[in-house]
Amino acid sequence: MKKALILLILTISLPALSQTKDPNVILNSLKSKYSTIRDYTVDARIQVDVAFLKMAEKQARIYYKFPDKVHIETEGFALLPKRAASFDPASFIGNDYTAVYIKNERWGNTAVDVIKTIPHDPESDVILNTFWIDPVKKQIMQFEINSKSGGAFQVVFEYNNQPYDLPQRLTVNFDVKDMNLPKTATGEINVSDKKKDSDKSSKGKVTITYSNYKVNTGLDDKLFSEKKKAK
Amino acid sequence: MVNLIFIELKKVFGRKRSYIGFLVIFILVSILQAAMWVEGQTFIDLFTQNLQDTFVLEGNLMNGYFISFMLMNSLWVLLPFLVTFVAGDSIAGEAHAGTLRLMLTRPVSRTSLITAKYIASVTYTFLVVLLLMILSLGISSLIFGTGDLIVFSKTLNIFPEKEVLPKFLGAFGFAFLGMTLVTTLAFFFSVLTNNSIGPIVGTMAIVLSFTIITNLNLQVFHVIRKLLFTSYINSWTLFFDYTIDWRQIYLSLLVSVMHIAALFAATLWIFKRKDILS
Repeated sequence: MKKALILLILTISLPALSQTKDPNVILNSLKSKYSTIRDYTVDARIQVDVAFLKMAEKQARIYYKFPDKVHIETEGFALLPKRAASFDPASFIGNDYTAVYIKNERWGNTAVDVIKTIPHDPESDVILNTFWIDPVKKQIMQFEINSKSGGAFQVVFEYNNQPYDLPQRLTVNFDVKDMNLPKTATGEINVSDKKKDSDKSSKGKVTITYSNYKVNTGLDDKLFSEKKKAK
Repeated sequence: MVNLIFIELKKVFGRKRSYIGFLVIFILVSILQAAMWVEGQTFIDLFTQNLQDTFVLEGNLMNGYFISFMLMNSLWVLLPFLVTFVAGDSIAGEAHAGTLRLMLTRPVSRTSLITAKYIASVTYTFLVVLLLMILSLGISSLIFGTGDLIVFSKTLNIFPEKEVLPKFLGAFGFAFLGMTLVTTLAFFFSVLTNNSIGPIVGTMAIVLSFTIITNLNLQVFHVIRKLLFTSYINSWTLFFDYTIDWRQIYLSLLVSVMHIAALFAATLWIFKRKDILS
């Protein structure tokens, strides 16, 4: 399946390949740019827009430590998209993949490179990643995931001179399965008895606005293990 | 008048059966709290199962507020049974025992007597709802702590902790209003018979029949449903909609108060003209 996909993408992007931009160079330069970030703490304002879910805007403090440790502190309850709980280009891009340069296109006033990667891990849920990268500033402007489990996942990044060129805002668009709760759980008996399709999904959007970055303060590993214990 | 009310309250709380309501609520709430202690997280997981695929969830939703909402949902159907015991027995019970005629030989107006009995019945209803509130909201919060509230009311709603308590106060206030209506209905039936079983069974028959019609999503009942008081006494749930429909709440308040006033006026009218033969 993945080999066929690689072949297909190679065929489609053959004209672009002739332009000789090496996608691995672009991706590695991006990884290299952010590799100096060992940890960071940031305040996040989270707005959730999902049809079946209503909740107020939430404030949270996110702690990240390389390579993949994330700890979230919030008053009350908050939720963050799993694939974008923290900003970590290295984990977005991954390590074992085949990258294909697709084209150069306009992103507002900026020229961006479009690169697709196909992870080699057969167990991975991700079939295909697509990145829109500003090659001059070495910033990911957008990335999309197509997964086996179905549904698209897209993250749009906005930057505004934050420390280490970290993003100021993430807009995450995704597909989410609709609720299908048994009436015994909801207590609702005065509802329509129309049969619901549990696999029906709808679009969701989460906007995370970051402020007050503190980078490379030497976060203790205990902070992240305490979280695991609490869970 | 105050003395009369006091005497009626002494009568109500002098009967052992009056404590059935309190006992049932205490036992059921305790059982359900124990069950939620063991299996509450499963309930939360059921609510959030679709979200868990996509999101990292942070924070404790399994708290006293969630337990209280679940208890209110579960015990709501039982409350009418418990409050009719006292109201249904209030006049019919005395008529059956032969004490009603004796009481009316005293220099007390029928209006004062019926009002005192009604206030005593409503006080009992208030205490039943208050006990449910103390046990479900108060004790659950002590045991499970407080936090944001997750409820399913049309959509999956997550309310910040600071907004939750006013919602519960509104909901319990409306629950009391709804149960006062049921109490008034039982009280009305109580004046019609000389046996307390009749008012209790009659009230429950009406509440259940109306509830069935209210909850059946059939087009033929569309108009009838709006005329039934059971469409309004469940309005405490409106406080847990993400955007509160105040118009519907005011309408429910108005309809409930009008029902209560009409039923009490009818009770008074019948009692004042009734030949007390027992």
